[in-house]
Amino acid sequence: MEDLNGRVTETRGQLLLIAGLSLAVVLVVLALLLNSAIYTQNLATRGGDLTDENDVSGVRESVEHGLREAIQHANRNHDTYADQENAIEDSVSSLSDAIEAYGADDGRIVSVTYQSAVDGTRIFQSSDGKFTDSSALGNWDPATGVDGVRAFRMDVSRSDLASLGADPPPDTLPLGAAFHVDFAATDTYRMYVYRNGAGQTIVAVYENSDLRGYCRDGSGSRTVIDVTDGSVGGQHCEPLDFFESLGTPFDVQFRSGALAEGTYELTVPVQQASLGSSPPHSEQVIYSTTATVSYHTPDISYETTVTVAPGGPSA
Amino acid sequence: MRGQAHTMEAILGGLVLLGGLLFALQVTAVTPLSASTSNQYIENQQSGIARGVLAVTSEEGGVGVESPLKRAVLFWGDENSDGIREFHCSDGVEVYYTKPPSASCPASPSVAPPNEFGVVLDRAFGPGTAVNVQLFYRTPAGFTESQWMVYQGDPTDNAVQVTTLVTLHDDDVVYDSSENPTGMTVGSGAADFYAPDAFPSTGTYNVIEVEVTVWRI
Repeated sequence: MEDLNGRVTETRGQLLLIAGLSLAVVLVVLALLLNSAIYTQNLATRGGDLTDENDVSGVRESVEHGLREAIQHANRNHDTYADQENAIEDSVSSLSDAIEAYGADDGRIVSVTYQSAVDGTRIFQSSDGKFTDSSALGNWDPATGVDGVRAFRMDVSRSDLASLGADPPPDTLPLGAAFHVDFAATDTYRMYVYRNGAGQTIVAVYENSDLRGYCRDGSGSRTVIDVTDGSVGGQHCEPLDFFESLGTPFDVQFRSGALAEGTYELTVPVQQASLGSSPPHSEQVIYSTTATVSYHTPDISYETTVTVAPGGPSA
Repeated sequence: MRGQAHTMEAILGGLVLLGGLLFALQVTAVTPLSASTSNQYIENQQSGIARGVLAVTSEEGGVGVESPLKRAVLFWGDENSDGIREFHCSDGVEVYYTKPPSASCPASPSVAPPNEFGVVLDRAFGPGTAVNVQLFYRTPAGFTESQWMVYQGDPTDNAVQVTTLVTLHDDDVVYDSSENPTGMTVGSGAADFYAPDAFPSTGTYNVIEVEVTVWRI
């Protein structure tokens, strides 16, 4: 072969082609190597710490639900504190057995240990009647000097409420004008229940005689007020979320109970004398239960105490 | 003539080089974060949603109203009177759900399972996602056995699993196809419940582990 100057040469463009090909092969091999490294990393990051932490909170939640069920079951089926506590202890040990077995399948050691229970009293009126005590007194105290209250619900008949027409509620309401519940500690929270001009139920909350807020319910002929859950007629009622700022111990006082009719129940963490034969009644129940949850995996060791009071104010 | 040949070969070489480079770039573009059905973010998201579904349905509905999840676990009976107990409106012989109930079964929400838990599950995971729900229970001898509630196939490698526990007591009742409590307690044996009384000496009937598996299809 001759180039333009007449020199003979054997080199041709093929060399470029070969170089190109080999470079392409090198790049592809490099890509494969990189990819497998990334894939390995991908596999290694699966089931990381995030999952474990979520798992711990999931286990804790499951235990809380289990304890809640155990307390409710024990209170439903047993009448004395000793029997109720035994039943709860049995339930917790069953729960622990199951949770341990399920945990072992997933490579973790979980156990639940019963610690203690707080004896309480449930005060209730289960058939419609005025919110008075057994001797028909309108002003009475269902509970005094308690550190908490849970599952405080009332179901009031709207037509039997005092009709005040005031909507929105005025800055001060006369004490005897309508049924109200006082939560008296150093600060007093007062919850009025009455009917407005439009025939709706008004739940007005006063903090040391200042209006804190109010909620309205106009559905059906009755209103369900869940005081500890903070809801009126199934709707969240923010003014009722005062339990965190309420000091302890406090008294639960019913005032002008003749101006409301319906059913109610509340559970307090004290042992109280029986209320007598005519409504309202009282019974022995477990107020709350404490258990220890321990959770171990190769990565995480976690131990905590869980206290459950079904229907308690969300803290 | 020579010059043209060289130029052509050089251009060809360049093209091969460029092609190789492009291919290599294309291949490395698959990182753990690139969009695909096996994305780590999707897995985290799905597990978060599944956790949320279980948390929401574990909450009780008020006084004496069991949580939707517990009602779904106790959604057990003989719908078509063939003597075989099954989850209400499931595919008869198979006992569990593989698809939403057919028109012949008058369950109001046409989702699997046809109850409040199923509605929440359906809203959380729409088309493009498959969900399995398996229930594990203890036996008196101390073993763990399982019962399907929803089975939509074998999950892929990228499926996520979330679990929660439901405690059953001897006096819990099974629910009818409209999700109303029947008078049949699980402890009496009349309900012919899938899980046995694992703790005969106590008031606890069984502790069910509900496992939800979610993956993209």
